[in-house]
Amino acid sequence: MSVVEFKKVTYIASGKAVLDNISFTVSQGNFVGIVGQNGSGKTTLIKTLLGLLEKSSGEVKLFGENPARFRDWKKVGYIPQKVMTGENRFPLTASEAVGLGLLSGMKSPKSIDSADRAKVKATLETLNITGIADKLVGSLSGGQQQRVMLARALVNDPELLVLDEPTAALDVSAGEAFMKLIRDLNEMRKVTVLLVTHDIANIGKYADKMLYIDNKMVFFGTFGDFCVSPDAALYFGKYAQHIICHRHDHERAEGVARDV
Amino acid sequence: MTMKGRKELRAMFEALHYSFIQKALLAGGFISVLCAVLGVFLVLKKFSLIGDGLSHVTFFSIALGLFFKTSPLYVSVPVVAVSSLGILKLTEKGKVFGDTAIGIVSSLGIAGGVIIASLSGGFNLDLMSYLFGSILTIQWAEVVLSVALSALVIALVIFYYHDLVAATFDEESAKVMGINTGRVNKVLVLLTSLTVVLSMRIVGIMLVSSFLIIPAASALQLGLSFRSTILASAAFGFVSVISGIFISYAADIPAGASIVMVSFLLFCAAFGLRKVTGR
Repeated sequence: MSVVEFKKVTYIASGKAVLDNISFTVSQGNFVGIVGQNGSGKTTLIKTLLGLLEKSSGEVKLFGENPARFRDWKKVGYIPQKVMTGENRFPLTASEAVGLGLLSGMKSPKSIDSADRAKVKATLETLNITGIADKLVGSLSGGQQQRVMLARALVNDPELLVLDEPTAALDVSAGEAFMKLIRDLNEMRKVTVLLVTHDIANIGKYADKMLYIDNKMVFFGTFGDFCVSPDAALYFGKYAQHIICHRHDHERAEGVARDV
Repeated sequence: MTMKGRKELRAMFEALHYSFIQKALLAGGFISVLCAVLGVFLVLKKFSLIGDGLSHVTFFSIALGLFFKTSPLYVSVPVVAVSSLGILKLTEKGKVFGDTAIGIVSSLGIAGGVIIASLSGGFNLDLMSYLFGSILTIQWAEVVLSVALSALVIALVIFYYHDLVAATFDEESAKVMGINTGRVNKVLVLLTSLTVVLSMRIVGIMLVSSFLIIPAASALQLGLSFRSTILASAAFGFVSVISGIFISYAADIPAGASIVMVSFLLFCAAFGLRKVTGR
């Protein structure tokens, strides 16, 4: 069974097709980078997947179900584009924030017991952030905040991680560290990953598939396929396609050297 | 302790024997905790002025109640509850900013209240007592109602505690956790409307929003966890009301204003503490 399925999905807002006839399928264990320029519909696409927006036409399936009827939210971990809105006085410690992830699928009145607290502690340890457990989320650096949000998304051992530009507010090294962490989770725990990013050249270092959209679908496949895709060449121009692939090869080689 | 200090302390203890002080402390104590707890969620959702807006609608509903010679409470509860849902609807579906929606409903409330008051021949004493509160003149029936409704609202906050925290921190992620954030927001504004109506006799329409905002704002200065912030806010609210009532009795000044002044002093102390400790 596919984890995510889009069939001829269209989403229209203010008379404009933000998503125009999009079709693709994501299988278990895939790491898919969703790439495109500002306003190309990347965030709309994942909001449609998560039932936050209702598609205008077509069919969306999340673990084989319509997102509006999907109830097994424990299977999904999500980091939205913007969580901390500069609100540094928000009175939530890192461990309280991670604990919120456990509420997925619980009925009210919800409660967090000692076993849940142990899960939170274990997740903080996995991400190496136990030292900041009692600090307010708003007082943490951007990289630490993203790790806390990742811990919240992971605390229920989800099968699918949906990340909307998780490295946008991070510096280069914090962004790379975060992406390596996601790649490791994908490789070791076989967590399916959907990650929205602007960084077309770098996503090939981590993702095994790439979905390029510009309101309509431009390309879906592996990065290797992208470099020889006539569709991509038609859209970007052969010269730009070559530069993207060359930069990717160069940065991938550098990344491998650093990892070694 | 000096002779004068001892004498003042004895006068305070003597005040506890008066029935009107007992009623004020009981009703005020419960309402203060209720307001302070809800206030934390409202302040963090940047919806704190909803108390102010709804208090203006309460002015309209009280004028309406007095005009038709019925208990203002019976008119206020449904009118203010519907208005609170109206503000929410304007914000969520009408894509109107929260403060703008509050401003629209608030002005409508004042305008409606003024029209009804003028139709009934001007502002009478009853209406003025609701504007500025009269906690020292409340009846036992009102005390029982205040305590019962406070207990109900606090029970609902406990029931929805985790949903409220999740939806306040990050509404979008809360939806992806399967939390019905629409229902949570409705519960929050309806509880707020009930609280505003309950508070009108204690602190008065003009000052009710301070009950919701100042204790929460004070607690947020301390940089505590969510649960501790709620407890601290409740403590700030409770101390403000209890000491405000005693100061009002001792200095012979209006209780509502005295409570707000104590509340503000506690905010200054918390703000100063934050600056000194650098939290």
